Amino acid sequence: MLIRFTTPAGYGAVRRMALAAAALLLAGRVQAHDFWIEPSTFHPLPGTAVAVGLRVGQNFVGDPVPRYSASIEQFVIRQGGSEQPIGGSDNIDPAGFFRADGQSTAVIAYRSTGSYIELPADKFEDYLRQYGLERIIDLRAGRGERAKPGRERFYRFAKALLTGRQPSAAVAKPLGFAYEIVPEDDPTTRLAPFRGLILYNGKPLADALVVAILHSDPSTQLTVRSDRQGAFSFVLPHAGVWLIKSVHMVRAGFFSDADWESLWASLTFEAPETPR
Amino acid sequence: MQRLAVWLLPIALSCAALFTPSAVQASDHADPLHLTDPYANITGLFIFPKGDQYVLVFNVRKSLVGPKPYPLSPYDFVMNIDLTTPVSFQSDEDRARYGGTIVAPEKLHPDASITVHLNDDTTLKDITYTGLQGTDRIHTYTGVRDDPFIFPRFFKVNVISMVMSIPMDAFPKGQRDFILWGTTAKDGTQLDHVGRSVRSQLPRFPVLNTSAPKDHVKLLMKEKEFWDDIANFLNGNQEWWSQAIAGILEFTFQIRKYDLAPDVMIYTNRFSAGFPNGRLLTDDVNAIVCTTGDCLLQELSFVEGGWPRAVVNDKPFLDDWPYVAEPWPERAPPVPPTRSIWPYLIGVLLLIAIVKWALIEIIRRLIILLWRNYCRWTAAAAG
Repeated sequence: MLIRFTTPAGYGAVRRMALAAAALLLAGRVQAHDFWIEPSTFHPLPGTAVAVGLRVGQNFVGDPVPRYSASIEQFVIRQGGSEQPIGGSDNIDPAGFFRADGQSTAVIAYRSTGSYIELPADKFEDYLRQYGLERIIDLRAGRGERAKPGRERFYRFAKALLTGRQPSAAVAKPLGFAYEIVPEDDPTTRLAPFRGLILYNGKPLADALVVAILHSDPSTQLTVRSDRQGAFSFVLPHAGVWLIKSVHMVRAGFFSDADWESLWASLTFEAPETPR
Repeated sequence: MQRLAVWLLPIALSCAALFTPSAVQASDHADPLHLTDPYANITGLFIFPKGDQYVLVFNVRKSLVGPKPYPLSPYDFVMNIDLTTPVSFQSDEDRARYGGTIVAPEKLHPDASITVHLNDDTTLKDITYTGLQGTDRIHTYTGVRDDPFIFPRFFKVNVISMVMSIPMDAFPKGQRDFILWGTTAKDGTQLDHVGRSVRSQLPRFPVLNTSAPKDHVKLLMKEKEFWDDIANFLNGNQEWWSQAIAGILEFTFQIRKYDLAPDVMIYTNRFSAGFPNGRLLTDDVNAIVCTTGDCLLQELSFVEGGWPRAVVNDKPFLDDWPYVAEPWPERAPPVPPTRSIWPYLIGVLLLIAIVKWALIEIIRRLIILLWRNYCRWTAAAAG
């Protein structure tokens, strides 16, 4: 299934402001936010310092998230065949900095510790619908919990790809996140159909809702569900910075303080106008 | 407890400074180098156009008041100019702070350089040019002049000034962008560095002084990781004094998010000259850098100066060659301190050792006493 929402081009900033306002209103209603990585540049030159911003928001319009070490499980840069932690100062945005080698496509990976949130039943169900998690609504109904507040622990798994001089096969390798969007090949090399896999605990996940949003025009949104092999694809209509995102939810364990655990995966990258 | 922490804060910071190897060498006016090797201490780098010439000023030896001769013979004073590494002017932030963006920091290199050796009376011993055309038309002045830095502590004192007037056609035709930095060296070892004014002298930048600009981003990144880790650790503790130390680190040693750029001076003739696009003699650099986040010297100029804060030099600059202001009359230099801190440090260490020994001795005697009582008790119980 491929649904594409587009609007006529040319409204630029006004549209983004409207979207931001809508996002805020929506945020007030459903209390759910995407999380992604927004580096200072998606194509760093060798030897330059790259600031890694974390963003939370909706429709690819986000607020800066300062670094908070206690909530970071993993924050690394994979480039040139090695992996290094991304350092930074707590309570400061951008959350991290690293020195780019710029030779091949680099992968920034961020994994958070869990955070607890409790939502009133109606807001919780709104949010489940918005993120394609109707299955959880049914499960709650089956357990007679629809009137109960949604008690949830959420985890964030964000990745960003930084264009280098050469493509990198490492881009298509899973990082081992509990929930992960893995491109089939390096999407920073050319504007081509984006093919990827949704992995949950390292295994393909079927029927996961995946959304792609264009940064320069957040009204350009593509949605698709993963197939039985966890595979999905988008035909990206424009070059530019894209956010691919997906949310999965499972019943929390017996000893958890929450009833549900949600896993938020995102991938940001820049699809080039011309192939490299 | 609070009093203890007040004592602990400076001790912890002093230790941090001591154990940071690079912290023993720093640059420009406000650095310890002037105490150990004052004639290597760079106090300013200026470049501005004048007619069909570029004027380059390179000053060393802060707070100079005593008479000649000075031990200048061993030093190499070098001004480097990179004419080919790309500079971008797209980022307003970088333009305001650094005059532009060095697009590929690792490629920084000198395409041209001027190396000056001085006699001990400050006259020119020799000068060597590389990468410049028509060097016979370059005018050079060397000598004692007023310190042009607008900062109360350095009013009414001199520096040793090297001024060059370089014809614009000494550079490649159509040259628009210039990246400059200066160094001093002795016996082949770089002792000091200057790039953009009021940078390497800040407490968090000593690492810049003995390294080449092409390595600055890499070194600053390492420094940032080091101090961020310490600050994050201290911030993550519940004790108020731990967080207080982190707060002090934030404005002293921690590398800031806008620091990750090589320390060079950028000058372009695309825009009018004036700091941070090069530097004019009249530029109030402390006030300018304060607008982009570095206010340490601006604060000190209020602390040490009067009201209103001086915004011009304490001596007028010359309209004509060599442009730098006339020197202040020679006078006896201030008497350096004669007291040593070592007896105090040794005393503190001895006191700690005695207290520690006394505690251990008390515990040892207590254990012996208890053991004897236990033996006596078990013997009595058995008998």
